[in-house]
Amino acid sequence: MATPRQIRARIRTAKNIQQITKAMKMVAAARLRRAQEAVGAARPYAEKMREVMASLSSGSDGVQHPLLRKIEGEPKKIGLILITADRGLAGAYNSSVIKRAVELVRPYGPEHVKIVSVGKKGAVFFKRRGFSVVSENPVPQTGISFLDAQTLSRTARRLFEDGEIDALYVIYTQFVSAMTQRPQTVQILPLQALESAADAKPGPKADYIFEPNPEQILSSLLPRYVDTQVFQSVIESVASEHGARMTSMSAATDNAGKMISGLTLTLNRARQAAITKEIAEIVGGAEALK
Amino acid sequence: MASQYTLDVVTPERIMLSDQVVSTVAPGYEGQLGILAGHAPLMTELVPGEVRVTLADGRTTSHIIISGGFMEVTAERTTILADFAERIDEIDITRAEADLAAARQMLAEADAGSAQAAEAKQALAHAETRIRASRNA
Repeated sequence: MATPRQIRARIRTAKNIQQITKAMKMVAAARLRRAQEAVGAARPYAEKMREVMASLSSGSDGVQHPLLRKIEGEPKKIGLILITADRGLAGAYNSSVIKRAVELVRPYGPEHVKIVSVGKKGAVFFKRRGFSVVSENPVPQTGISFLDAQTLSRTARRLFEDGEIDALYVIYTQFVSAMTQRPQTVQILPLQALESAADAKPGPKADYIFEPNPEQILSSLLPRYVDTQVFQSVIESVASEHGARMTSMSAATDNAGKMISGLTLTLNRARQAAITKEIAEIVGGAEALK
Repeated sequence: MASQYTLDVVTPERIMLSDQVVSTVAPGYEGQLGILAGHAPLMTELVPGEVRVTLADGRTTSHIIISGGFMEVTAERTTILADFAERIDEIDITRAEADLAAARQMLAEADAGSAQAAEAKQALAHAETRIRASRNA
């Protein structure tokens, strides 16, 4: 059995860990609130964007645009925007995203996949396995701006426009609540939004005046649509990351607490046993002197 | 009063403005566009520039610099979708100048006529508008 001294050392360790996890939990909670606000603030724009797309797609048929380029058969080379965290200790957050990514790229092999990564964890994982990571970006600590997302999305769009990839996917984590986050795989390019947007809003449309014309508007709208989707994925992922970290750190704090109380009990027992033993010895010694 | 309508100016990061207004003047693709209540439904692309809004009291005006975007006008409301929007007094001139330099460089590196060049030109125009507007303010 461990000596009281060893047990005390372990209690101290557990207490230190508990303090750290508690602090991390609090930091994550504060960041989560801000990230959630960003998700909420981005929603009206995204919704409006979809509405505009819907009205436009009814007014313009057969638009030619590089982002609408379809390829024959199955895509052979794909691009992937992979959104993970820079750091671990966020529960299953990183691993579930990476697991999704591994499934997605398996049929293509390392030489046919180009990765644009946000967050160190995903980049490190795929680089070690010989994938080409064309662009590495940190997760912005102060909250991502639309400009950051645009830069990111532009890199990926260019790969597609230049024919380096046939399809572009994004893997991110959908923010359901602070407790629940769902990894999602979404195909962004070639754009399929046009058809679905048109389906989503049936019925008579307002008779718009288009200036200059629907095609022109659409062609400047499409890249922005992609940017918006990327932006949305990133902010949802950031919110999810903080949510996952908060939940897992909260669990870690609880576990440390349980461990401390267990160890304290063992310590008290050991102390009691030592005292009992000493008394027995004294009594035994006194008895022998009689 | 029937001569006012709702204007929303939204960016991906926030709702910039959502208010009852009397008139809006926006930098349309084919020139400045003034929108009053009862305008015919319209969908247009906006170029980088200044949006001037007269609020419902008929006196207060608000100047917003946008980096380009879209405007949808329907009977009930007008919506401006902008990539970036700033009120004039929010503009940080040092940042605007840094953006201008970055845009120039991007334009110099891009192939003429490519999508990159078009994006760079837009960024350039946006930075220039911001600098000009904040100097005048």
